[in-house]
Amino acid sequence: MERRKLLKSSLAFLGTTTLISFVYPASKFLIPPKSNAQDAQVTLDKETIPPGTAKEVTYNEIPLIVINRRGSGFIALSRVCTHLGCLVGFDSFNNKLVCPCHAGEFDLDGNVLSGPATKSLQRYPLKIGSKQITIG
Amino acid sequence: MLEKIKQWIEVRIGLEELVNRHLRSYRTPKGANVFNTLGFVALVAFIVQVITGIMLLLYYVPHPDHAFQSVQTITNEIPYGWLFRLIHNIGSNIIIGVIIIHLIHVFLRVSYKKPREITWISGCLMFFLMLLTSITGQLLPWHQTGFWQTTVTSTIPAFLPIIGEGISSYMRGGEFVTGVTLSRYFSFHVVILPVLITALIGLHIMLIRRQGISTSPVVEPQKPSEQADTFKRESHVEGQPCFPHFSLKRLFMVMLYFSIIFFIMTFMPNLFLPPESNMPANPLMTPETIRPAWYFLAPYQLIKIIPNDLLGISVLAIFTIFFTFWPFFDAKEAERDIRKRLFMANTAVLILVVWVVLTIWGMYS
Repeated sequence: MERRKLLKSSLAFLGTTTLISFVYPASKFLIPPKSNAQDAQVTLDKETIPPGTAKEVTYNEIPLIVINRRGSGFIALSRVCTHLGCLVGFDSFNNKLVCPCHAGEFDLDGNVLSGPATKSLQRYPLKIGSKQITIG
Repeated sequence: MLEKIKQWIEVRIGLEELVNRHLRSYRTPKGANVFNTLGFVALVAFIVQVITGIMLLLYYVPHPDHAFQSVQTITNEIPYGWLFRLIHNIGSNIIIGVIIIHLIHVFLRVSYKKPREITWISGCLMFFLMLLTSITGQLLPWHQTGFWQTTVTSTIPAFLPIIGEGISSYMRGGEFVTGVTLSRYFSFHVVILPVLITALIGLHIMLIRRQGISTSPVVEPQKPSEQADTFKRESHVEGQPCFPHFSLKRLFMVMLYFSIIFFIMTFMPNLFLPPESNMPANPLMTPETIRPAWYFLAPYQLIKIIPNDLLGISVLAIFTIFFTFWPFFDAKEAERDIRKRLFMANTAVLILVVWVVLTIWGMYS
């Protein structure tokens, strides 16, 4: 091999190795860390949510809403709108959940009624006891 | 394929012409050695500090309740966080070392003389701003060392009569080091000082490119640019092209800079992180041994041994002013070769020896 070509190839190899040895840790460093949220349970007194009302809670850093539907009982839904991530609010007068950002509407089961969202709100399992409700 | 991409870029940017004009045609003086590359190494070191600093900012929280924990998280939990923190920490010390050697080299070569007075002053100002950046950066991890070093350094200006208390209070944002101090130091460390340093780097490089690199007095005892009353650029026709000849020297020194960082990181990772830097700041407990960074040990020891605090700080202030504006104090017609200026050479060596002795004394006292 020609001397100049060998030097060029060696330089290119060393340069690439050096670059990778910086880029690899940098890319690993930039990956967002896992959430520190614990899988702790959230417990609520049933009495605090009479039929036709709702209560906002946070579970593993996720904002949820626990609704006591008339005739259908309790349900826990994520408040994060499936359109662009704003938090939906409970409209007790019209019995629906409304997103303030783009007027997306969901029924009390989390299904889309109108607006730009196409997916239902995420539902979270509940354990319903005689006096308490537990999420998680 | 690669040729085609090169050609595509060449047509649009004219890279070849750019390299020719700024690197191949730009010539370095005869006798230029590795010491002439120190300014470039300092520039690379500054860029490394900026990049690693930005990366640390992604996870750092500038609040007294979270700062210490966020730095611990970066070091122990974020993948390769320890690497970027240590590069930033060790790099902040190496860059000061590089600038000190660069300044000593320029001084001993008497390269600060006409027409390079502004270049020298801008270099000194950059050095002082780097020291300030270092001081402000020490507080950010909110550990015992940084907290108490900040308490001490922000008290020193209070020795000055009339304005002293005001300066101290301004630095801290109050009577004591608190969360307000952290916010102030944070904004100075990540925005104000780096922007000022970048502006001065621009001025410094512009001046060097306009005037040409200074020659060694051994190679060229009398420079035409010193005699002329009009602007005269030193083009060094007889010298070597910056690229590839001088660039290889620069590359070697940059590799040496990285080698030193990785050597310290591998064999002495806690060299610049004393045990107290693993303890969260406690405003109610001063550690038994609290010393400034190595480059502040000489002034620290000087203030300690001079019985009057005002006298100590005045000596330092006068020395700093003389050092910064030395091109205007030095005799205009004086010889450039320092070996022929025995008094100046001996004084410079004496100051250096005193500085080293004070540093060692400060380390062990």
